[in-house]
Amino acid sequence: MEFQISEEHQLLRGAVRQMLSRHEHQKKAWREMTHRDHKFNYELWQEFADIGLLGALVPEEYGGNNSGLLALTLGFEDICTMGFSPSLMLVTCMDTACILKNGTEQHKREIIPSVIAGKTILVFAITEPDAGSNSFRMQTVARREGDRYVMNGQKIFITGVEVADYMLVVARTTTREQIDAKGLPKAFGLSLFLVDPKTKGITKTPIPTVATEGVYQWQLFFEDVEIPAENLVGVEDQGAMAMFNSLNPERILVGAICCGMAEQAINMAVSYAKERKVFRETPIGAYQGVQHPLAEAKIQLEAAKLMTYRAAWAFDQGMEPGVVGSYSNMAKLLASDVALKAVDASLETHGGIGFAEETGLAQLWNGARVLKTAPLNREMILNYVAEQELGLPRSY
Amino acid sequence: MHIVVCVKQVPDWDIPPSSFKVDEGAKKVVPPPGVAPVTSQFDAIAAEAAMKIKDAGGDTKVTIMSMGPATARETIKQGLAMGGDEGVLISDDAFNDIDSTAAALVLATAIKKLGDVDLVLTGRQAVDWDTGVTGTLIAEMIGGPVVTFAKAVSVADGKVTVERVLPDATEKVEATLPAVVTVSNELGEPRYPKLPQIMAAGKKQVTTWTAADLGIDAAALAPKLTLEQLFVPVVDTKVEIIEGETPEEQAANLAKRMKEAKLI
Repeated sequence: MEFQISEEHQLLRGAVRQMLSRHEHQKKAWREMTHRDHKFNYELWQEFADIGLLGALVPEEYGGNNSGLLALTLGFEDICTMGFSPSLMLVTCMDTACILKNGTEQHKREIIPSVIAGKTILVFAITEPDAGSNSFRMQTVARREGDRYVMNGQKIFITGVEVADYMLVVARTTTREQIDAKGLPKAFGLSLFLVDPKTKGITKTPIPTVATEGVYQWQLFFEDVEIPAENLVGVEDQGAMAMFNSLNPERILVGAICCGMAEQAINMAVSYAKERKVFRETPIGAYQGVQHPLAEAKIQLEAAKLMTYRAAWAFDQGMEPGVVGSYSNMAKLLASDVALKAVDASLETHGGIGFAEETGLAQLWNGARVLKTAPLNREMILNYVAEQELGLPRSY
Repeated sequence: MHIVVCVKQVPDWDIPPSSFKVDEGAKKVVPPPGVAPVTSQFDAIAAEAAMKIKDAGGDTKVTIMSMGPATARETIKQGLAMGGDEGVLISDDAFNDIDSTAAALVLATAIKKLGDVDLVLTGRQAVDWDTGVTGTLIAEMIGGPVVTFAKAVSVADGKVTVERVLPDATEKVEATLPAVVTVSNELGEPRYPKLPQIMAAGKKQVTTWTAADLGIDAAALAPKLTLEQLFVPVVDTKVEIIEGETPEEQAANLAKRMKEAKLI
């Protein structure tokens, strides 16, 4: 068993840190811009593109560098450790993986190089008011009419639509009624479409939320939206597997974000605890009441990192999506738990100053908390593990 | 054109001062636990100077050379990811803790072994011990001119042209090749490697040479420098508030106090 991170991965980490350190002086202004004003950070996005992160999952024949999901995972972790945000890279990379696996040659030649160059941003539209954790309840329908599909329905909590060039929209091409009538499996009938958010018939309403950085969450209404047939990604009615397979990288990258957040929170706490003196000349870091929560968070962080790296490695090895799914889900749960725990311990270490905006810890708390619930809550992960890993019966 | 860039792996200098420890008895720096070593910043800038020459065109080969433990390979790989072509790692227990003169001897011997080197670039000093003499000593040992504190380096017609940093001016000098140039931070920040170059660096060759490969025996490495004492100086900070009714009075009192303290 090899626990050594490869030379290439070490170099990537060094390069990402070097790149971000040159923007350290902008960090505070960027945080205000993204957290307070919800403005997208195009400058940092271009840096992510230039260093090659947006091409990490893409083979060289489509202009990528094929460095893999583990490389991207380490990059995400370091971005968050240094107090920056990967922002929409999560969904753009997840969509990229999906298009590469399921898209047509035209999609790969026309869209992917532009994504790698930082010129095209992709988002993902799956959640509906009555279809959150249970995607099979979705009702948005795309009906084939000649050389196009006509889409009707609605989506909710879609991230970053205002800056997206394409949304990867999941819609029904066979209705639930048709599936029930024909006795088809419930996973049948979903399809994926590349949709320009500016297409006629799409109404967009922002949903004010906390913990979204630089972008808004959106409610979308589709009313007779015409989509060219060539924008179908993968096989009609067979989109469920394509969709679920691309959710694995999402979980893994969320794990990486959480690990980075935890590391950042612990680093901040340790640094503060070494300097802060309350009673005589003893820094508070010498008190076990301060040390132990941080030490526990550190131990759990190491475990979360290992699980996240293993999940990314398994994806890169091309292992069965089911196996990668288990690894990804477990890593996401552990990492999001430790992120919250670490930020909480850091806040407790800082005391009152931890809630001052300048430390960024309160924003970090919001970010960590939302990742306990999104993109998949811990209860659904526990259900998945109980069923898939332990072979226990399903209750729902 | 064959350029050799000498790079040194050093403890990460970007750590809190409270994390910096020395073992006074052993007269050694204690590497901070859990913090990976890094490339000495001036050496990374020297690599940048080499890449700028390479970018300018012509048939240029850049060899990244480092003397150090096995982990120094990471520093070499970083240079290769920046655009270097080949790497040479010089690693042997006999080279542990040697002084600058011995380090220069090892590096000069390796450069001579390569045989066809036109230009050697080093950082102006390593950021761990800051002796700043290794580049100059290499020049002495390979028998070429040395130009120090470069802020710009270019090569044409068998000569290297260097803009040197002086305390209050810039000096432009030429030297015949082969030559050694030590590079200063005024040259600019080193490029960071990007993923395609990092992936390509994985395929580039790093040759490892030992003391035996270079034909160097231990006697030649005897130190010419004796380290008498190694300690972290105690910095005593005092705060004194200068009183005064008006800014002018405060300034006058400040000047008076500074004269008393013999600061001005």
